[in-house]
Amino acid sequence: MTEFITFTVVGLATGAIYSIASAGLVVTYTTSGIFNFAHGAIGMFSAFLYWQLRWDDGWGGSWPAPIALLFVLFVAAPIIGIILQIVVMRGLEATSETTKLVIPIAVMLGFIGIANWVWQGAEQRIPKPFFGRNAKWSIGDAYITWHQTIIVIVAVLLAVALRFLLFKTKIGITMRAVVDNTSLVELNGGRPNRAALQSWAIGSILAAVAGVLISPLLGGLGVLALTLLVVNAYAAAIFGKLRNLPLTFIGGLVIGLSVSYWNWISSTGQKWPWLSELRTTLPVVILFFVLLLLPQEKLRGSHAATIRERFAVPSIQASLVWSSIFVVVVSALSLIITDKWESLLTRGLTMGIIALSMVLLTGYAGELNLAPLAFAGIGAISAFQFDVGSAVETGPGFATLIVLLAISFGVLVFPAFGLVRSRLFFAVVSFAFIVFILVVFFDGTTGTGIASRESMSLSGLVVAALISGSIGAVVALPALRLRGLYLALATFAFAIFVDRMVYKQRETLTFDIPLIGDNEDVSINIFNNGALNIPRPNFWRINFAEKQWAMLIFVSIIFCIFSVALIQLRKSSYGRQLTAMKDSPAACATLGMNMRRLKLSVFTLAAAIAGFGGALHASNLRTIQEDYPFTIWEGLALFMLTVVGGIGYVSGALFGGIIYACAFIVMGDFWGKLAEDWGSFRWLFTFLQDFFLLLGPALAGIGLGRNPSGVGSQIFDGFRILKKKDHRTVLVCGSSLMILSWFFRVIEVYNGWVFILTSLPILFLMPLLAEARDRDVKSRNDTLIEMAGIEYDFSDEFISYIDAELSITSDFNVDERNTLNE
Amino acid sequence: MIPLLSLQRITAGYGEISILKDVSMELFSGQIYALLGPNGGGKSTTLKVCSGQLLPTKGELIIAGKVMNGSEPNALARAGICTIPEGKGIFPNLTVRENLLMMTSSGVSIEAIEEVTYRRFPQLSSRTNQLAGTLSGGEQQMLAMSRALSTNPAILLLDELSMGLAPLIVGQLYEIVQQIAEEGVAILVVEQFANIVLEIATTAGIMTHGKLIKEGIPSEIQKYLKHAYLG
Ligand SMILES: Nc1ncnc2c1ncn2[C@@H]1O[C@H](COP(=O)(O)OP(=O)(O)OP(=O)(O)O)[C@@H](O)[C@H]1O
Ligand SMILES: [Mg+2]
Repeated sequence: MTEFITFTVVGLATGAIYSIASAGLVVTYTTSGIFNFAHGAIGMFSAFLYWQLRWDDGWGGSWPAPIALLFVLFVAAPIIGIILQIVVMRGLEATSETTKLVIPIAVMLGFIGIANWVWQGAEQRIPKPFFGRNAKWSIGDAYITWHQTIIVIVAVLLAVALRFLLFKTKIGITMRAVVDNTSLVELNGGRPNRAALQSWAIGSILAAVAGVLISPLLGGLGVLALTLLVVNAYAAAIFGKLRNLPLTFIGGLVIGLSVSYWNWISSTGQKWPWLSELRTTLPVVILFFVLLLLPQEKLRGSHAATIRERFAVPSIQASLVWSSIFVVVVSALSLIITDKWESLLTRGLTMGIIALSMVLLTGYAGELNLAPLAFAGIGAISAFQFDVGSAVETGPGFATLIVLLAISFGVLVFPAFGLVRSRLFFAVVSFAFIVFILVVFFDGTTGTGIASRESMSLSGLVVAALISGSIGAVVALPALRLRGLYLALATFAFAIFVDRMVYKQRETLTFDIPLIGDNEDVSINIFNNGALNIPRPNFWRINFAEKQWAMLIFVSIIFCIFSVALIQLRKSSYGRQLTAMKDSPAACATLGMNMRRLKLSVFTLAAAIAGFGGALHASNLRTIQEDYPFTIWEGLALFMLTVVGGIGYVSGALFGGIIYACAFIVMGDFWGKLAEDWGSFRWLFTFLQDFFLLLGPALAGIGLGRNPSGVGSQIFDGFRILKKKDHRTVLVCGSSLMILSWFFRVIEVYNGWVFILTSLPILFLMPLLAEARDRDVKSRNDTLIEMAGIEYDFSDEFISYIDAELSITSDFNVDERNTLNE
Repeated sequence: MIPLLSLQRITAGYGEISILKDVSMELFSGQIYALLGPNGGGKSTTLKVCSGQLLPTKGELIIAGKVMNGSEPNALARAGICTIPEGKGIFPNLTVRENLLMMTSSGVSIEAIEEVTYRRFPQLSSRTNQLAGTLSGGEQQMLAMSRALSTNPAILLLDELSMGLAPLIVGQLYEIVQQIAEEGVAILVVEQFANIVLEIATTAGIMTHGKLIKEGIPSEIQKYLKHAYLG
């Protein structure tokens, strides 16, 4: 009984915090239609700020609790909310769903960046509960701390206050009215902007309350841990369909209690070690299932009507030409850049391959997926487990498993391409056969090595794609009816699940596969105690492990193959179906398209691409850890930067991958180097270095995420002008100069800086020059035919003189002219 | 006498496309101006310009002698322009009482608003806590009209009051409009179906393709109408 009371109280307390946080989420969502992904980060930031004011030795420190509380909750938090609303969120109403998601994600990453920046170092920051650790009272033998008591009281008070605010005060009613009909509020004389500000201030205060209350329940403050903790509240908000506050509060309590009772049953995760992380994952598991059970909004025809992103599709010739140019340029560059740059670029390209999966899924098919790197991680793990360093015996059993996977992959994906039944069968069988050949002959399946193989084989990549694809299908299957934000949240939940349950898995799991003999049990230590070593490939007699340039060129070729294939896919009837599904699911449904099958296939395919890219990425890095490079945060950043680059184009994936892996690191390094060289300006350069490393991606997201077609395609568009015949001279001269500069660098006439300083200006001058020439030609031909020869500005006097001579009255007015016309 | 509302050579549109071209009109206290015309003629767009929802690209919006271009719609509303937009001028997810409460932004107390509303439309008084979206079409329009009645506007802009309603109710509503005009309010009424409004209007205009092609007394306009609709 005592235990029951203790665990119930703990559950109620955490649940109450979730309720408070999710109430804030609901308030902002209902009044602005924006799901504030940054909500958790605001809570985290407030908790840190409170700690700073109360306990830090430096600035602030030892403020009395009431004053610190007042400052954090009623000064800092509302200001954050208001600034966010004015600077970032205002004007997001009429944008696409993706943008509405990306901007708050960018803000979240921004907060994380700032917190990491301000509160650097490994110092332990331990906030104390209210009235200290020993302030308790008891029911029977069960002790209840004052902190817990306060949490519950605050939650109850806030629930009552919110209810009162929203239903009994003019402010609250206006907020609800804004949701109904913003322009009518204005016609009533109300101020919707002010209502939005108020709601963001309130939402932000609630996040801060949650953050401050929850932080003492953790051991010490951690930026990511705290952010994720408040993310748990998202599940509670979904309980209330992001609208209903009472249900939201109940949802919060349900989550808090489930976690607490789970801890009780499992003795804080010790009973079933492989499930030990479930106590941190349970909220997102609940989130996933609540999303599935939630009655969905009906398909609405008007849904996508206001914003149409139109992505032009390049022709197959163009994509082939560009691909060849790309590979040539990368090869040429590999001759003149250092190993470090080569490895950064390779990382960018492997990330770009993963980003291609988002181009297919989000750009082409309009399905949001926030877990690209979860699938990439699964791919990398599969490659490790089944190829290079497995605990699995790679015998006939393994081959059978892979062939079964290949068949199911074919069955899932191929029908959507619209093959007739007989050819479908043929396609699936031949696909499985190819995979079989690959696995048997290119893998050398006889080995039983445990972390022994020295290089990755091609079949490792194929296996990565197949397994990741199948898991993509398994995740997508229940989520098929979800769309938009709900789908994004479901995939987000999955990503967190993978982060915790897979990457942090330390147990060896043993399965008995029934069909494949007795002694072929599979026992897997999924993450091999926190680090996987995945070696580079070694085929065609090229040792990729020693030659970074070879890896770079190999990866760039793979990127091009995938890109061309995707563009081809987009132009096929399958691609058109995807576009149709993106534009108007309602219309597709009435046309009798089988959207479930389409969605399932595109999900599988995208997950397979991500898995392939993930395995390649891991193999390029050689080792992956539980916290790098496939975490949820990195995934969100990659998603965001791909949107910035233009998620509807393969160039967007290229841009996203490269920017993600290199740009900010390079910029940071650049300032870091300056800081070393220029001691007197050190503070400035170090500041800039931190600024670009920590805040660069977030700022790029906030600043550029709104651009519907993305930055990548715009840059490309800029160069398109050079295709014209008129500008052939510009193109030829420019390219020759650049090749010359490259050549001088190769024979080491000068160093890398000179190369950059000569070739980059030429590159960007070419389109400008062409444009200038165009303008010149245009202005010469601009005169209308009938005006030729009489280009002359007539003065008013002259006109009235002519009018008088022609006896046209000067008050000949517009109305009369109109009637004449009729 | 200066007009309460006047448009001076207004050009306005959405994005690149101009819908209204060089529209001028004047509206005096106590006058009911009926703006008629076929679908897509630009009538609602004219009202949007008057209520501040759409910024004209050229020309001036003058209210009681003052140029008000660029004023926020909510500022204009508080200054005494009451607009009942096309469709439902109510908040469907708010209760009747909360809808009335939203009208207090104009500066009138909720008691006064309730008093006027329930006196004029007794059938709403038994539905104070019902969601407005669940009211019948007629009741919803009554609720919308109660803003015109209770907030003492100087100018009233009405868009398609009759949409989807039975003739009997339409008659009632326009009777009320006439009474409001008698108190000295300047009223601009947009309708597609001319007959009802032309009975109460003091002036009428016909708008097609974003131009005010004809202005005059109602009886004259009536004659001209057929021509306009067919042309
Ligand atoms: N938000 C908008 N964006 C773009 N075009 C618009 C918008 N609103 C109206 N239009 C266009 O402006 C033109 C005039 O529309 P308006 O609503 O003023 O017509 P109306 O005279 O009120 O017609 P009706 O009698 O059908 O209500 C139409 O061609 C319409 O398509
Ligand atoms: Mg209209």
